[in-house]
Amino acid sequence: MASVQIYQGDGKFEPVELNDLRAQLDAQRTALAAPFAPERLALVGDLSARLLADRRISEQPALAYFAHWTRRAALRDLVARCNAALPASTIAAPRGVALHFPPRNVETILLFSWVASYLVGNTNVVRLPSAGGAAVRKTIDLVVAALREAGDADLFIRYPADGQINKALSRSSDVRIVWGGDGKINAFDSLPLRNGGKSIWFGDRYSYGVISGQALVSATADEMHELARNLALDIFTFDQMACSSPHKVYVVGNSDAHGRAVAALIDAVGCAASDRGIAIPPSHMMAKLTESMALAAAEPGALVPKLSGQLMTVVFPHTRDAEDRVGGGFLVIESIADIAALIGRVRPAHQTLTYYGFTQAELTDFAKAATLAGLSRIVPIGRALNFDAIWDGYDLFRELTRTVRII
Amino acid sequence: MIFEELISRPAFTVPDREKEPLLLRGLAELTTHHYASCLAYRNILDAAYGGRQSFDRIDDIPYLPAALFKRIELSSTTTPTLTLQSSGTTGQQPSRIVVDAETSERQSRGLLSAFRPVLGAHRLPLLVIDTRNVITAHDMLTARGAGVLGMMKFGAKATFALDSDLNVIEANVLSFVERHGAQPFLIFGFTFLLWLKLFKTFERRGLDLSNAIIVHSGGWKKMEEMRVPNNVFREQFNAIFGVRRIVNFYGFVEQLGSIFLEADDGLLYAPNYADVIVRDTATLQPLPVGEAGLLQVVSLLPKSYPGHSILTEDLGIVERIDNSTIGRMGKGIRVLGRLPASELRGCSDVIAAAA
Repeated sequence: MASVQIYQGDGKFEPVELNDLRAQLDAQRTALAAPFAPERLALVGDLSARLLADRRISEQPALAYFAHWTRRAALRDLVARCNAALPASTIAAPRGVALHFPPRNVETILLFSWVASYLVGNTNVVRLPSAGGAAVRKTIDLVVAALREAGDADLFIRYPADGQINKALSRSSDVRIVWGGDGKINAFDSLPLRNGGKSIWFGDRYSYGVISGQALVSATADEMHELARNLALDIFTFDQMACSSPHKVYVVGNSDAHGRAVAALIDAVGCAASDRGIAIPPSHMMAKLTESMALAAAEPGALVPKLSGQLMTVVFPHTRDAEDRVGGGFLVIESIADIAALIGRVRPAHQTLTYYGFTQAELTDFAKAATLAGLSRIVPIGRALNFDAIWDGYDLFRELTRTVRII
Repeated sequence: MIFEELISRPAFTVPDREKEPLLLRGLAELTTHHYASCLAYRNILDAAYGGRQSFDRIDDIPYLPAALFKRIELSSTTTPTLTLQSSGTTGQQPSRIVVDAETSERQSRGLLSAFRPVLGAHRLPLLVIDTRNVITAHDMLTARGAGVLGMMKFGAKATFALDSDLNVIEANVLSFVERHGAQPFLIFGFTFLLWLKLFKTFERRGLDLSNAIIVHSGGWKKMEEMRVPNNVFREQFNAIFGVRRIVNFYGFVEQLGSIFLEADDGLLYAPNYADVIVRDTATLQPLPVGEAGLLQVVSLLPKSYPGHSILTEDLGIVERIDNSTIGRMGKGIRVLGRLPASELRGCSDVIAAAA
């Protein structure tokens, strides 16, 4: 009989028989909480306060962001927004048991996935990734301890890749969230949920930025510094391998006019990365060097300003169709005549567009046309990785609840 | 021509100080040649090196990472005769090296020049620890095949010790040793094949290889995994089979023919027509003698493809320059292994459900 390891905190796991686990989950279905129940809001708010107070945790930008996102004031705003968004004569109810398959390496996703579902009252089973950083582990320890104290039944589990367990757990779940690319989605696609429950998929995505060349040329030293710091944050969080990490930046305008400003920005982003203590392993630096030369070889006019360092770039005076995903501090920079010219380049798999130097009106006009083809997030440079309950076109709180009509 | 000048002198006799300015001129000429003949190379030089074609020092010569030859095809010839391929780990794109008649001839002359001090002028009977199949491919040749073909120029009547499944054909080995064992003869093969096949097969039975000169190279990654360092390899072949002359060399398919030959001081010496630069793994700046870093190898051989200056992912160190006491001029290096691989994180799980 298959068994699953249940995380107890402090690195300890305890096995449970798969059938026992399923029985336990069935029992929990009668003990769900109402969406945004005060005790769950309190638990999450307390957790946030403890994370923010722990230097080892809050020094990690991705975790600091999670803590910030869940602090008490932010939760109040979230609840207000969700309640306001409910159609008249409806209330929200939890879906039941939620099964989470977070991505292997962008570890904080599992925290967001769990917390969104916990807040709306579901019972959660989260499969832990096989690898994990110490700070995230410590955070999960705090979560597990808090849940135990509150008597909540949420579980963080581990098991070796096993189609039978995937199948059995899916059958016991009312909602399943799969993060981690098209291949992983295909592996779960054929596994039905309980009573035809709800599947939420997060597949492979491509993200990029757009900068106004004019704004870049006229940026003050402080503005340039700030932009570089923000761009470095977007690029170097999770080694540039998150779905919302930018791999390309379009610079609007003529490269003759903004070429020097772009060169200065590249330098500044490299410095900002070093300031943040980013150190890309030499073998990946070699991979970046190889890739930059391969891209430069393919067409005349390219510029490879640096052959080493944290950030390596290939600058083109024109646009290309290729979507390179090298990661680990690799950026392709392409000049484009105006932001409207970007509309025709948007594809369904495009997720996050980060921007700098555009007016709200310009962005709104762009978005209305561009989002017909793709894109699900348009945010300032520096916020590419900032998780939001609205993600990949889903309103997660909405997806994780049932909307109940009451007349 | 610089190449002719250097290769016509006896191998390992050109002192470093004398060699550097000659190589610099030869490499600069090659850079100009490839810039004019290979569009991809021209694009790279324009993009990454400002199109520069005149240089003050050897370490100014633009380099291409070895892995680039896996990524794109680079050719400077209009008359290619064959494509060399790296043996390549499974699942990896192999290198593709475009060779024409002229470069092929340069590679042969390079090999002859570098091996002559070890193998002498006479062709010796040759036992190849490999399968005949590695040399029967037509327009595609693997690095292993190219190495065997190169070595066959030194050997008379090559005997192949392995079948197509790389199993030892014991009769071939035994009859070869019976016929030629009383006189000097040559054994050539990749290090791991020599160890796994020849050594392991005859380890318990013994074999009189006291007149053998073993030339071996490559595959040290596998040797590392089996925990057989170079000195153990030497000691064991000596202890079990009585082999007294074992010569290791360093080379790679992207610069076939440019081989660094092991000398009596245990170091690998650059041939007349090639040299090495050690670069810092983080900044890629050149490092002084005695400091470990990435090996960049420059060579006058490659004319049909822009491989005259290649940054490898091998780590190494220049231990000394010009060891005249053993008759080895030029840089003596030690190869320390390969740059450790790294893995990036990411949203996208490669192995479904592995998370």
